[in-house]
Amino acid sequence: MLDAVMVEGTLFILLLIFFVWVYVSFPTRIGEAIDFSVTNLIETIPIFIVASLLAGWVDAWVDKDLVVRLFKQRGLVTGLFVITCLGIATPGPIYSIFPIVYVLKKKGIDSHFLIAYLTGQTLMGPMRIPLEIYYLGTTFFVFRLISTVLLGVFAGLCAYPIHRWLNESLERVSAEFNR
Amino acid sequence: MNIFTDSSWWIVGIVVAIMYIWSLRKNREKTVHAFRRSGRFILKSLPLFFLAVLLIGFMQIVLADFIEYSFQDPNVGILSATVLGLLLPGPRYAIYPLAQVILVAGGNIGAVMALIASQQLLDVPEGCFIEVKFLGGRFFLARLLIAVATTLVAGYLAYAVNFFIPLWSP
Repeated sequence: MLDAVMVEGTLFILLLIFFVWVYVSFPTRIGEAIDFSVTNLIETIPIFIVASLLAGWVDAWVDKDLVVRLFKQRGLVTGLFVITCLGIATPGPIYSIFPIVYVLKKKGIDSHFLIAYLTGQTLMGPMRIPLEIYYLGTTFFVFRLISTVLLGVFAGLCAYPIHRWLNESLERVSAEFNR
Repeated sequence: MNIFTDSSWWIVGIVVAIMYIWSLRKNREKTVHAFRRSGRFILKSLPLFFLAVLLIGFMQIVLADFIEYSFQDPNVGILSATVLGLLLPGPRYAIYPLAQVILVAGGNIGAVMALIASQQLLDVPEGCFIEVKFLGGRFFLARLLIAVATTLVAGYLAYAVNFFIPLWSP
């Protein structure tokens, strides 16, 4: 709740700063800014509702434990590929994902796989797909989908040399968390 | 693109409706749960989305010159987009209207890709506190550095692909 208020508060303060900036520097363009925002909102709200219904359906029908059950230790690159795809398929904001990451960690999954999973989950999500296609087009979306898979593998490979160092830290945090 | 005249959006709407009809026939409880989750999501996210779209309306006027010059050069664009994306607050879907504005204004595709990746990889400020709490400062720091590297790769990858196979033109 506090987080949500903080985010809305930060956005509101930023909005105020940019409003004053436009009011002082470009007073004749305030109408243009409001027009842009209103048109954008009118066109986006129906997509937003459809996307939310889609996210609700996925939440109800896709078992969240599936992510844990589906993932088994595989080869490094194959494992990173699979877990990045699972990350892409997992809906929800990042803070709702940390409990899943916590469970994956408790199941003994190495930190480089967790980083790949978080990369896939943050870069793409089922709810954001309709909005992305609407704003940026299908070609852009397809390219970003392919590149997200590659980037997830890349992020996991970057973390691989330090995965023992990260695992130690994760175990310590986990012990403190359970105390 | 207009949602009210674009037929592909009607198709998406019909597909979602069919999914709900199927859901209702299979399991009434799950369907109610899905509706509740959707409703809660709309109620929680709409004020944020409203603020984000309003903010971008004003930002695009102030940043027009900056975007016009810096986002056209691939190197400056990708680097400034990486920093800008890390600093931009709000939900991850809020970046798309700004990305569209930059793309339409002729911004470099690498910079647009870097901006989206950078804003989405780390949720500043809301997500990072929870990440440190659940996974620790060391993990967060490693992910921050890897996120910056991943963002730069995302930007240059898009730039390189578009250079050899032009998929987007200003």
